Amino acid sequence: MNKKTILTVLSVVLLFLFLWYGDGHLSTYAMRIWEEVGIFLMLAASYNLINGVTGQFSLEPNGFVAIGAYVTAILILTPAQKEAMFIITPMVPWLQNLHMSFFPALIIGGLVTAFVGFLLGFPVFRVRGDYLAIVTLGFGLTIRVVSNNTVPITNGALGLKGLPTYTTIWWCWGWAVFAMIVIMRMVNSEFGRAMKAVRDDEDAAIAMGINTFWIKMTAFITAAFFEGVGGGLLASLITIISPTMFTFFLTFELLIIIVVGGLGSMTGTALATIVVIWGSEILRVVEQPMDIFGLHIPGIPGMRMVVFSVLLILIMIFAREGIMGQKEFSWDSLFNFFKKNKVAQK
Amino acid sequence: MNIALKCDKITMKFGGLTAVNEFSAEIREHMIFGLIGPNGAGKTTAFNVITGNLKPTSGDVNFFGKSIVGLKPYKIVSMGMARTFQNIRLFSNLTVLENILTGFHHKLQYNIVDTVLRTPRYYKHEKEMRNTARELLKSVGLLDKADLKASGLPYGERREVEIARALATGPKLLLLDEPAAGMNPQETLNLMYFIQEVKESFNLTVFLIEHDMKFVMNLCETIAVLDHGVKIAEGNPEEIQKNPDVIRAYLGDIDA
Amino acid sequence: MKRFLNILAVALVSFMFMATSSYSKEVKVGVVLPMTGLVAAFGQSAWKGIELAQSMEPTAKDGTKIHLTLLDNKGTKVGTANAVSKLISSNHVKTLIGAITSSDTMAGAPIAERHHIPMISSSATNPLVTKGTKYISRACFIDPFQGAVAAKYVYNNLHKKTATVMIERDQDYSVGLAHAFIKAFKKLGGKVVSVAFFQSTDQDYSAQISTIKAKNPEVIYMPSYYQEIALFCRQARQYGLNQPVLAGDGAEADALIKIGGKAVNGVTFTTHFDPHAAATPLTTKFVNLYNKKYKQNPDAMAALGADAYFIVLNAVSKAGGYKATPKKINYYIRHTKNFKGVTGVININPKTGNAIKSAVIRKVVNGKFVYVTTVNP
Ligand SMILES: Nc1ncnc2c1ncn2[C@@H]1O[C@H](COP(=O)(O)OP(=O)(O)O)[C@@H](O)[C@H]1O
Ligand SMILES: [Mg+2]
Repeated sequence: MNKKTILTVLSVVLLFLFLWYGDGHLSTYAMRIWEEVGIFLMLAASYNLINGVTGQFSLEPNGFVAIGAYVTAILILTPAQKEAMFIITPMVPWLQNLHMSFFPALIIGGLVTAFVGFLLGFPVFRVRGDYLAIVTLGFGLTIRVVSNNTVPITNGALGLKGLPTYTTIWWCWGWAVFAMIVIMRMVNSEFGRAMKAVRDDEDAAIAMGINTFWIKMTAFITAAFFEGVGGGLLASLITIISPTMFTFFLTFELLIIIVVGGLGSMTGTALATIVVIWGSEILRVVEQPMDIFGLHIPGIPGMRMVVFSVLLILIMIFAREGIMGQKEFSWDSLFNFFKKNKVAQK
Repeated sequence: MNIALKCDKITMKFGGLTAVNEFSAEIREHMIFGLIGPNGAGKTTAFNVITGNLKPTSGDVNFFGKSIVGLKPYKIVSMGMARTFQNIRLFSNLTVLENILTGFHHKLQYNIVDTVLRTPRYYKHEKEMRNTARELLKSVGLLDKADLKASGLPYGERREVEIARALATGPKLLLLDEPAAGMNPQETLNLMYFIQEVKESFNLTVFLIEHDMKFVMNLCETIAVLDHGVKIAEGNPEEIQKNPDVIRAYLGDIDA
Repeated sequence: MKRFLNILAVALVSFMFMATSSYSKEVKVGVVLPMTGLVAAFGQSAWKGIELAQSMEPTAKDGTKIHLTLLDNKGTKVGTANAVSKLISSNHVKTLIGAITSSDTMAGAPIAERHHIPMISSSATNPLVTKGTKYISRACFIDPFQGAVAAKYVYNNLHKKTATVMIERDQDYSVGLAHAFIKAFKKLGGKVVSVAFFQSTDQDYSAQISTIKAKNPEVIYMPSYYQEIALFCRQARQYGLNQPVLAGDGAEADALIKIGGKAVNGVTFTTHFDPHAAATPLTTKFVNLYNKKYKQNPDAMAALGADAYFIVLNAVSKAGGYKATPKKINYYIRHTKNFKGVTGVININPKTGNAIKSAVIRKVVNGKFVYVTTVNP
């Protein structure tokens, strides 16, 4: 282990110490938002892998998150709960009796989503051209129709309710850190270089002997897996899912995060997730009625989103490539930064 | 001497347009073979057919005795054929070293599980690849540029990196598409030495397309001339220079 | 850029301090409503009702001021859960009012339940919202009741024995009402001759219309929202399908008449409230003040919002004013008895948290909503 690895391990330990401290001392609201940050970090990092690193413009998250959410939900609900809930049409018997604990349910949720990613990616990546965005966009819409109409599996419009609340800060951040490690290791390997090569110039990548089809598939399926797991975590966090829940807005929010953070930068994604999720919460103050110097301003609903959009636009103007561009935070750059400052002080 | 590449009446049609028409050529091992011709003659298209990027309408391509028509381009690369592009196509956001490393991709010795778990095998081969890449850069005199972003290099060096990257794939045959395009005379001269050196030290066969007559005449042992998709001449530099068809084709090109 | 961010940070912090002025004798009540997003119109109506109710009675019996904090949930589940969480742990509210839709309310409810903070929804009608909870209540009746009332009205008042049910399969609400109607109608002795499905995005109902025509029921029960009902009625009348159409409170919007025109005359629906049928003295007072303040009649959302507020206020008074604990407030919310609210007399079942109250039946006559009758539970 070298110095940098120790530092990285140390910061992960610090992160968990912070969460442990927060669990006892911060408000449940603050912890809840941190839970959301954890889940969104995993989703955004996955999304960045296919969009930013591999450069394949895709709009898959809402559809994939929905699959993971449904699979996990069906697996963690008890047979009795399912029987009570499926009032229009009874559930398919074998699914009704399927029941397991949270961890295997999340894994299966992730694997099923990864398999769907495989089925979608296979035909799309066989041909050249920007079909992925259209196909994944359509898929997101289709999932909604399908979950509405496969009543014996999804309970249709009624959705699945009263899911056990297994999701804790530890689940969220355990997965977030795991996903970050897996994704960053992938990016910092020959596979990652090949992904970036595909992004920068696909023809040249082919000429280098890179099987671009499988490289794209690898990125897409990995993203799908973590998006499925994220869906499962979200489902158990919110305790209720329905066909209308995972709309394009989710994808859009993730798109904002990865653009703000920097396409291709995982550490940028982490920063941006915190900025975007916490930002929209902190900005709630601008919607509250206020008395400033004797002037009464009534609360204006929606103001938060206006201010937020303006801030995002400013970020995009002043940092055109996002907070981190395509760069990653590295200990070296931090050391260099301090060195430079010291020199400057002299 | 062995035949490295044999093109047997390859024809490539795009709809109504016949970009390459029954092009045949034999390239012996260890030679530098030049393909010239006016703009739009079908030279790049011929390359694309040979490298597997395009499937020919008809005809056959033999690479060291094996037909490679219909094989995927990355497969052909792993058989020992590498190429560069007419307009330099480096991975602009990767460093020079990383660009070189992509050339080792097709003989990668660790898998995705090694990557995620960071197994000893991962470290071993990653280190090996980096060392080999550095050696390669050293041998072509670009080691000091290893950690610079590819997009930040001057034009001449970008071309050299592109050739070095092609060398990283471990080719027996190197295809260069107008390597001197856009270079000033000094850069062109440097490039000429560079190609010659590389050919010797890597024991290569080189097949190059060039627009610049002088460049080809000085470098190539055999030259083929393509005009409107048809091979109108083949021979050594003197023969080509005297060939009336070639002169006509080039004068026509200038006229147009 | 850096300086700009500094200024922004200072401004934000000072805003936060100024925004959190506090009163000593008060009970904090959090309100979670969709003020933006797809169902913003409902949330805004409810907020108008709540604000007016507060201005009518701003304090509990002992003079304790009710301090309302409104948070927008954007009409989303995550938004609701976050807002509920924030109100409980950062604003330290003792009680919550909200949310509007059943699914949003259900996303917030487990958090309130876990913290033992009472939460009353003005308009979440899905039976599952309060199921198995101790702290979740509502000021409105539940979907099965609405469906059953419609069945009763069809069978007993209209004396019709056969019905077709049109179900909007992607709407939780529609499926719930239809289910209850079918059950109640069969129990009364009626016959559901066919069930037809459609989806929110459907523009063309000709397939459903032709099957309904073949079955020839006496009435059509279509628990859906106003756009779909209006569209269906227009096409049904065109094809000569003239049976009465019955619906639930989703039909209640001026747009029903705007879109449907003459075709929706006769559409009859169950709902929570009619401003012209004064159920209690408070109804009259509220409707008058509402007209004065907003120059329009209150809709059901506004009236229900006001009732949620009044129920909370009443519970705070009984629970001891500013000293009231959330647990006590919850006890008195759940033991609301014979409360004469804006929408009628309200009893809350202490076991289930569901309001037991009468439903109003309204009908479109010559392009206007007209009061028909009140059906008691
Ligand atoms: N993918 C393609 N589709 C259609 N036409 C093409 C394609 N590639 C090349 N061509 C056409 O084929 C002809 C030969 O082009 P090219 O091989 O690039 O010429 P050059 O000899 O200058 O390299 C040109 O007329 C060009 O427009
Ligand atoms: Mg060319």
